[in-house]
Amino acid sequence: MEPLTRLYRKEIGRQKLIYIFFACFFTASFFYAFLISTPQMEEMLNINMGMVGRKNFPEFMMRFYVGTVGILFHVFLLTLFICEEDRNKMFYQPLLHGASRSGMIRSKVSAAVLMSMIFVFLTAVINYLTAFMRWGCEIFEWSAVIRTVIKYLLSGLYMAVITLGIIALCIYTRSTWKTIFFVVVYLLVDQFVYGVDIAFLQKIWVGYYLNRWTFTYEYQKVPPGELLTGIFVMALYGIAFFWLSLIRTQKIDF
Amino acid sequence: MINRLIQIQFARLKRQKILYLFFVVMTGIIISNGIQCAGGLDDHGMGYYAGGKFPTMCMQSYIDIVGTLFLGFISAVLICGEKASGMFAQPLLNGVSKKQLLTAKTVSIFTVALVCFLFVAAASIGTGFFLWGTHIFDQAQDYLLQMLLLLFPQTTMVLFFVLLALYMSNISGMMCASLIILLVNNLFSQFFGRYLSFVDFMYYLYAFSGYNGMEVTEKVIVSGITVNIVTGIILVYGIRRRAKNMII
Repeated sequence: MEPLTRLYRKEIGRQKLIYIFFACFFTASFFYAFLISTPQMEEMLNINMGMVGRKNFPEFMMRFYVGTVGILFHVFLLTLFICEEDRNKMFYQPLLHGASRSGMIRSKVSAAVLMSMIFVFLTAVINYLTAFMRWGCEIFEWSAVIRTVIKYLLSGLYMAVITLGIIALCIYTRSTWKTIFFVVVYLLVDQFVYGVDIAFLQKIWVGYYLNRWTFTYEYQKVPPGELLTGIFVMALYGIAFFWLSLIRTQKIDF
Repeated sequence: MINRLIQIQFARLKRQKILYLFFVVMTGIIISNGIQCAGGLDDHGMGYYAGGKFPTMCMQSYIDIVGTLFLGFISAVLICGEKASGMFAQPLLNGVSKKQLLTAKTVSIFTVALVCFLFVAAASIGTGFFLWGTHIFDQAQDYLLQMLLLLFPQTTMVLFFVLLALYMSNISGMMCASLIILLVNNLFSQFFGRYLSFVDFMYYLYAFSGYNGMEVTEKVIVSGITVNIVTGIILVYGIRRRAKNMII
């Protein structure tokens, strides 16, 4: 591993907010697992506990991270990691120590993408842990476990693509508020695209596939054809975002 | 002096493009909500809010995350952003006290909060009138009371964001902290609302807007106003204390 990549990983790991966020997520998952099955809660939150509990609980809880909350959390962390560094004139420091522009951005991207995947993994571990504490071995029905693990892997891929997109935005806008604003607009458009019936737009929209996998096929297997199309579209977006970040970094005037 | 400071803050706010973009985004959300409500009459989730309850729905979607995070963002820009760029200390060099500076900033953030809130109220009633005609006024008494009551937790929220911004060093950190606080509060309001209602002012953002079918009873109104006033006083004390000890 390159020293620069190691440095960036340490830099991300030093963010106390990450630990606070996941401690809160654990608390949320714990309360959902233990308190949601009370009749009052079932009625108030309009949830069928027979459906969301036990083996389906980790999949049910996935929606609380992969989506608005996870993406907002990523954008705040990445703007701290890129835009704030740029503003403090720390962004180009590695260049003064002999690192190349592409090497620097590759290290940043690899550290950020790894971070996004670890976060999804952590979410899965937390949700399985709380589900195990509540229902014991009842949660381990293999077909459900395999289905849920596949969905978490797909979510990891989606979050990695979104991370690449946010990095590209940070590098293009070089401004915290503009990046946050564009991400909020993305989230709103994402909901709109999922809600309306415009087939062409839905086919090319990166978030549409995750919404299908999370909501339309909730507690069901995703059809292989749709799975492959989704992975292909996401990979294309990821490559495009990475390529755009590289190009912009070559031209950027520090 | 304080009037001049407030004018400077407003001039800075007027230059923030995000403020105008926020109005565009909120208009988009309200129109989209209206179309979904009008088209989903058979669907209990959306159809329930068609007609007289539409402004209540828009208030809930404003308060839930978008509006509150936006207020956090404005506080971050005016306080954390200026602290980071070294502009926060500038007025102090011209003989302004920290107290005056923070009062001006708090007043300007509160004005933004009020304008945004009134905008949501007016846009939701306007959109509702366009979609359902005079039916939008069927439950005007309910939603106007809710709007009036929501001014209390909104004011306390502004004070809370000012205090938080004084402790945070940059915009991203402030936004991250605001997101975590909002999510934790939302979670606890769902599960422990009965206990939180004695101490947590943010609980009343949900209670007063009728979130998850919560009823606005006389008891809720009295305890909500009391909790918000007491928390407001504590927050003002906290702001003054922080301003006094802060090294700029």
